[in-house]
Amino acid sequence: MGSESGLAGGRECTALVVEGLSAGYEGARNAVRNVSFEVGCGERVAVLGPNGAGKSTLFKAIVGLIPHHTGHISIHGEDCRTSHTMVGYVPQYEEIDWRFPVTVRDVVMMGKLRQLGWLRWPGRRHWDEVDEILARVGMLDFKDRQIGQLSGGQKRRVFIARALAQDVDILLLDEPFSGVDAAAEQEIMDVLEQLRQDGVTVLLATHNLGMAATEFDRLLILNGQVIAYGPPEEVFTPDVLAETFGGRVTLWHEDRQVLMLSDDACCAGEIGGAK
Amino acid sequence: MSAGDVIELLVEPLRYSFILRGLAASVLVGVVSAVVGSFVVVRGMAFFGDALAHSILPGVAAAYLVGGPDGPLFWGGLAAGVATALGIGWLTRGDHIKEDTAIGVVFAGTFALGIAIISTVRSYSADLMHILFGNVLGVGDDDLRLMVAFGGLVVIAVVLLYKELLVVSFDPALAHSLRLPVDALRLLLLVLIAITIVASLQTVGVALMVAMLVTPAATAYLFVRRLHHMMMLAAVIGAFSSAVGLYLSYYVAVASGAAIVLVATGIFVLAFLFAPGRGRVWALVGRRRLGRDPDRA
Ligand SMILES: Nc1ncnc2c1ncn2[C@@H]1O[C@H](COP(=O)(O)OP(=O)(O)O)[C@@H](O)[C@H]1O
Ligand SMILES: [Mg+2]
Repeated sequence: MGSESGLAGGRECTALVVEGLSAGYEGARNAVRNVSFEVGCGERVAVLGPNGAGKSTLFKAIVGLIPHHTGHISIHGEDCRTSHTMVGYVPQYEEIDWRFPVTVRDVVMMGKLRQLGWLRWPGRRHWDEVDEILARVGMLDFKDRQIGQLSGGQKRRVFIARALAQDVDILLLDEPFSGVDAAAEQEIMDVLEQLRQDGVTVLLATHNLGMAATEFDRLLILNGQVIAYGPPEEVFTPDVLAETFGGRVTLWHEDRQVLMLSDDACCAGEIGGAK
Repeated sequence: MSAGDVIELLVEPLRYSFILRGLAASVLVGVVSAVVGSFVVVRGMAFFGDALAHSILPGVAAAYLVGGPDGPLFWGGLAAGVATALGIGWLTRGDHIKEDTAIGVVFAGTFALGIAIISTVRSYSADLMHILFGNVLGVGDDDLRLMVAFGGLVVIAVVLLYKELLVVSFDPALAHSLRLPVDALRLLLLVLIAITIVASLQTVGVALMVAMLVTPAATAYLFVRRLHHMMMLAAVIGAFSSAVGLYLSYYVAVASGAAIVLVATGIFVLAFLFAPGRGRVWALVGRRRLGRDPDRA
């Protein structure tokens, strides 16, 4: 574990440093190029960018799922190759086989696999711990459901619960809001609020610009490389938006409010406090 | 028909020790391949299973060439099966070749090699038939001992590594982030499938092996929500199909491998139509009665 915990006490610390990272796949070796940014402990960062911008690639590199050939990722000051068990990852919806025969409890128990150790089956105590975590995300009533038989928001919460079971202090969520309604969005945000209280650092990929602007400390705008990184009011400028999303997003300045419209009706939202 | 008659019917064939051995062998195979086959089904590896079964032929053929029908067929098959499993696993590690393409190439090539080797022996056709379609009544004491040993090994490995194999199958991304040896576990699973296939060779043969892996597990899948329950139910269905199939082949005089697979298939079709909740018949009836989509809350 990292030497600087500094979570509950609120002491300044850096959770994640990405320096000059390039990563990709066979055939698309530089899906992300020269990405650098730093995230403080307990901060909440929204990763924005059009489809194919490399949001998932960046997350996969941080979690160690794909190797990175250039650059450096460190987590609480350690190289990610030695410390990435502290990073939780909630994959994009399409990457999960929702017909797989596992229940909500089974999925959350997977997060405890390291704690259980090799050759052992979970005991009563472990199941109780899983139930506690499910209660925290409001999913205890659904614990014996097969995972396909849940609503979109519930499915996301199960995977967040799994990350809690993993006891991670950095959590990456890949487009948790895609295909869920406003109520489910709010449920997910409520769980993230709890995580913030536990001092968990959250990186979340989304297309929801309004949510990103109001609920996150920093925004990382990505389109192959980093277009902008910083607090919402600094990052959401017409230039940045045009460079990232083309003509699909427009800003209206009105008094001290900025109204942002995108061509998907879902993502219209307001940014407060633009000076 | 009284209960006594039924018992008589069940006991009568067992007076022959070769039938007793055949029954033990096919029930064992039913159980082991259902357990391993559950992974095959949930991972969508049916084609791989079929290919692997065929690709053990050159190993069996080479052993046959050396020792005839009593040669070290089991060991030859095991060597070929494990080698092919590892080979396909290695070929598909990167993104160079799509998995089903790699399987198709390796499968057809090795099968052809097996047939070529066997065809050099003049009187090969009967023995080739046994390899292709099984010869459960020819299972000897030594064969049975090998099957128990290797079948037991496979089941023990699955039980001990259950949660790791589950995570690797369900969510490789999580497995990576937990720093499990993902590639080693994936190869282990392929090797377990290979061992299962070789141990099952004598009951249903190469051509029908995939049914033992896939059909009972696919049936069980219709009834359960958890993988280990699927394995247990599949094992029961596999054992039942094997036993019933063997009796059928005794009384109706059809090939035992085919009878076993037909029973398993019949159970699957019944389950597919009538399984509680998921059966197609209930879905049709329910839709008509409710007039709305049953999936909506
Ligand atoms: N498995 C893969 N193999 C090869 N290229 C990929 C793979 N996944 C994504 N890519 C490519 O990498 C780029 C970034 O993709 P991705 O990270 O999924 O973007 P995003 O998540 O922002 O939509 C895209 O150009 C995509 O085509
Ligand atoms: Mg993505």
